[in-house]
Amino acid sequence: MTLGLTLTDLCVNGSGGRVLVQAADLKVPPGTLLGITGASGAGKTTLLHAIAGIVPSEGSIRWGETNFSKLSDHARTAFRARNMGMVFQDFLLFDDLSAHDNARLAAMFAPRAERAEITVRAKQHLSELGLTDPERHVASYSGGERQRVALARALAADPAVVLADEPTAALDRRAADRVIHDLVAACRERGRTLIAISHDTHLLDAMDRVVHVTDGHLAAQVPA
Amino acid sequence: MIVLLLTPIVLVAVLLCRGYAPGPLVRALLWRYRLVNCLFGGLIAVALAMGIAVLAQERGLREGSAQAADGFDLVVGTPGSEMDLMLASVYLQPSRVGLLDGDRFASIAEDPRAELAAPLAFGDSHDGAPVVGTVADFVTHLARGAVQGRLFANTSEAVVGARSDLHIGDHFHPSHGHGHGADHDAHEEVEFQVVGRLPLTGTPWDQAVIVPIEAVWETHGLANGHGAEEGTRIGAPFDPALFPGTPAVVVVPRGMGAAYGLRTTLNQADDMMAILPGAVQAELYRLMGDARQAVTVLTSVTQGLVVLAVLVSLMILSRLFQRQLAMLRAVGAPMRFVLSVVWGHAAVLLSIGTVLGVLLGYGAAAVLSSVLTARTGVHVPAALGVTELRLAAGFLSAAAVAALIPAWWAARTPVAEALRRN
Repeated sequence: MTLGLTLTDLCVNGSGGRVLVQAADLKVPPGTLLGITGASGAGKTTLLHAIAGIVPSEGSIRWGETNFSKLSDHARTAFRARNMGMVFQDFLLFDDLSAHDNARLAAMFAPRAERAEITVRAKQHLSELGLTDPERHVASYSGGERQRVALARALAADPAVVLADEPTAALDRRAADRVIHDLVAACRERGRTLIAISHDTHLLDAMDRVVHVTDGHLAAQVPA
Repeated sequence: MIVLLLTPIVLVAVLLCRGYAPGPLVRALLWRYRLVNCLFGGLIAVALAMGIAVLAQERGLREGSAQAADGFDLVVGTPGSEMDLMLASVYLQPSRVGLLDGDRFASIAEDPRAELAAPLAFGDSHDGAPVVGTVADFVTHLARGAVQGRLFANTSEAVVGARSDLHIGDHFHPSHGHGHGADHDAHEEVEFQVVGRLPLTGTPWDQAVIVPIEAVWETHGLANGHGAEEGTRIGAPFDPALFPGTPAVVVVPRGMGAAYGLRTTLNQADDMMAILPGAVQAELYRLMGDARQAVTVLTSVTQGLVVLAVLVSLMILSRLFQRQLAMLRAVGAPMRFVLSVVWGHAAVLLSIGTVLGVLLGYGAAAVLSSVLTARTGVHVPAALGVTELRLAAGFLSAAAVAALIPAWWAARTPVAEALRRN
């Protein structure tokens, strides 16, 4: 399944009514790779969090046919579990678990019937991403390897959408390029929609489109 | 009852964890913060162990003292402190008690309700153990007929308690007095030979050296209760005119009714006091019960404070892994799953602390029991009873239910806010 995103009159307010993010209209067709860039503090992460439904917002967020902004918190969480994979700048792995346990995290709270499938898929992704010792604790992994474990975790539930917040910011160039390659390939091959925040020109160059966020507002959509 | 007490923790576990597999994440948290977790577990264990040890020890003391007084249905002495009389006769503790004369002893011994009236004499010791003078029939009564070797047959023979360092065939000289003030040379000319050994009774008499009462009197230059025409005969009956006095007479009555009747009769006399050691102990237990209640309240407050401190610390600790918890919510983990992880961490800590607390409490009770047994001779058993297990189960359940608070607090932190924290 593929999912596209439609934002209409999105507005995220901070404390004291300050507008953190405002997006009048943004359409991301299914399977699109969208880069979001902008200066620090411009509102990129808040926009991503709004898209993921983890900050309250006004306006309309539609994922495919689902009016995401009308869902309850519980339903949004369930929607994320089924449809979204997330990758974070500092990986957010459990250091004292193996790569495999980290990658199959979704199996721990998924319905019983889906657990085996997620577990198998996690192992398969780890292997495809070149992580040949999945039972090793991730504490002993390099930054690049850790981000690939995080990528395997994001893909294990076979999501239609991948949201990535600065996925290469903590990596050296070589590791970053490997992660970009793996991330883009994983999305292209399965027609997944990718929305990635980044300052990394290598990553932005690999996107279909790039939007620039300035003071919470979406600026011109730059074709990559 | 114990199962009922554990029901809340089981219910919470089932409600939170049903359909989820939080085990790996709970293990990861336990390992990641292992030192802090060990500290928390230790605190919980010590707090609980105090309560367990107090309960187990108090019960052991009751059982031990009840067993010690088992062979002493009725004790008669001069009017004074009932406690002193009981301590002197049952527990062989040096006490200030007066002497009953020969007429008084005869009136007790001749009462048809008394099956046996055994006079006691104290004052000497051997190697720290009391040397007690009495009659052979009382030794048989104490040993319930199972003396190893034989009873003493003359004033140079002795029978020892089961835990005495003396053995059958050994010879010894008694010392005058007890403890550090004992005079080891005062009775140098007196020698006894051990001819028998009592079975273990779990009482202070296990450490005693028992000799004919005539030997104690003679050793101190007193008449021996018999006229010259009686030769070397020992034991009852005694000639009241030649009876030097006894601080306590242990009476074996012909049934409980006889014991109460004798007590009433003897207490009507101005110069005698009859006590039922069991009743004196019951009064002591009542007083001990009040003290136990006070100690129990104190330990309960301590346990409550420790649990509170641990739960507050868990709240603080949960801030360290709050970003991981927020990540779980961000990737679609339901709130109940996050709760199950944080609560599971606390519940495992509490469970480990409780199990360690029970073991530690039992260990402390065992050590205290052995010290008390060594010091008093009263066998104080140390065993875990239902009361201690109930305390542990109730403690665990209450603390585990309370652990829902820090779990809820950690799980409800706004996801985006937590993800942004470094």
